[in-house]
Amino acid sequence: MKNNIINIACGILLLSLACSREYELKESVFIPDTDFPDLPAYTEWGYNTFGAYYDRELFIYTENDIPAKIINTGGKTSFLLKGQKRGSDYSYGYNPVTMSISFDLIGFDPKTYTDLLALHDSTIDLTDSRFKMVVTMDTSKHEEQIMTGTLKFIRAQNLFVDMNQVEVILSGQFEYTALVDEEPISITLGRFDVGIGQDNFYCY
Amino acid sequence: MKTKFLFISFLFFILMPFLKGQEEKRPFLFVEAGIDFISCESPEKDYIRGDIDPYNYGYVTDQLRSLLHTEYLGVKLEYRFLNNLIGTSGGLRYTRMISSIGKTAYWSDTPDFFYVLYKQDGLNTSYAKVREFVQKTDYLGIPLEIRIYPNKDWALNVYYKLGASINLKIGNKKEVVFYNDEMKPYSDEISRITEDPGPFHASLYVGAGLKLGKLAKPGANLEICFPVGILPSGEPGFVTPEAGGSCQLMIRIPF
Repeated sequence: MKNNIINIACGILLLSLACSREYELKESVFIPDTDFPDLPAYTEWGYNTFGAYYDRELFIYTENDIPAKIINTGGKTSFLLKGQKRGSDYSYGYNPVTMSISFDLIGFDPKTYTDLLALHDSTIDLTDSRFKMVVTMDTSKHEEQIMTGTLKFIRAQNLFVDMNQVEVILSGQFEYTALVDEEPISITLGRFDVGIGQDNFYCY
Repeated sequence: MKTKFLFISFLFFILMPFLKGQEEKRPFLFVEAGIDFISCESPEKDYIRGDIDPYNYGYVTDQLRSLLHTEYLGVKLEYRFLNNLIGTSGGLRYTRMISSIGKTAYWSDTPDFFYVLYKQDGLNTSYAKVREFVQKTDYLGIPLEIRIYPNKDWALNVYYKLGASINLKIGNKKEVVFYNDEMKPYSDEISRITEDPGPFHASLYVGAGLKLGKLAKPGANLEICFPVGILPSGEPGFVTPEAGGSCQLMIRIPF
């Protein structure tokens, strides 16, 4: 009974939030890719989505986690994508695992989220020897040994809503091959469209 | 091509009474007023940000609506022939077409808003919170109609009609209803991103009517048309009309 009341209250809260739409810039909007409908389409609207194939599994954002963070600490800036890895077809192998990928942004030292505009139309070669990429699955964390790969920031936009600056939208693509436990794996068709504002930009 | 064919067909019917020169012509003047309600496809615009579907959370929604209705006034001259069985009419009609994106009902304001991308200047992108886009377009048109009166001239008659009108644009006004009133100074800039209506539109309709009063005296006609189709011209417009219905009231004055 108590659970029912809580569920109903949550439903009403969700609907009332949905009616206001004020919050939607922070939520994720899934528009399926026309060729790979498991993945979000590549967009530049700040839909707070990302997705890629991890071999034949999906690495994709979730509703529960903030999909992207920029973390500048200890002289190092990271671009973190956090979601889950799961089977691409719900009919088999649906066994999600919490997963995140942290890309180093070498030599980039943003102090505020608006500094992220410098990433516009830039490509990071993931095979650069200075580059480090850390992958976390559930509680295990490992540094991946990249064989090939790039991270492209196709577009960085300063977003104003009703003349007020609210966030920077980063849109781009990524793919790489790496050795994991001496076995090659591929991340393919990676794409992201995320808003970075005061709540997911960290500099400390 | 289809519009041209229909236009020629109607001209033929209009001229029929004149071709039958021996028959007594019975002209009537109609003063008409009417309203059409047309359903539209959900808008898919490059300048409107996708919303979350509250019933399929996380997915983009298609719940944003486009609405279209027209209001019109006009005069028509009808000729009867074949013993009052058939009437053909033509005239002049002023139409105001009101199309909107964002409204959820024709006569009420919407409490919600959607995000509109109205400017991209270098690395700066600007959205506005918009409740509603409205376009009011004025047309001058020629309605051409055929009525079939299957019954004798009683005080109350049911009849059927088939009609079309071709309408030329004479004016257009765009409006934006903002979520924040502070955005009003940008109304012109933001409304400019919406599509302009084509130079003309045609409408086709079939329906039934009720003739009130005998032919020899002034009377009234009440007509309901369903379906009503609107064929816009040119590129895909601000809204994409599908079909709808209409209601028309006419004052009938015999000569």
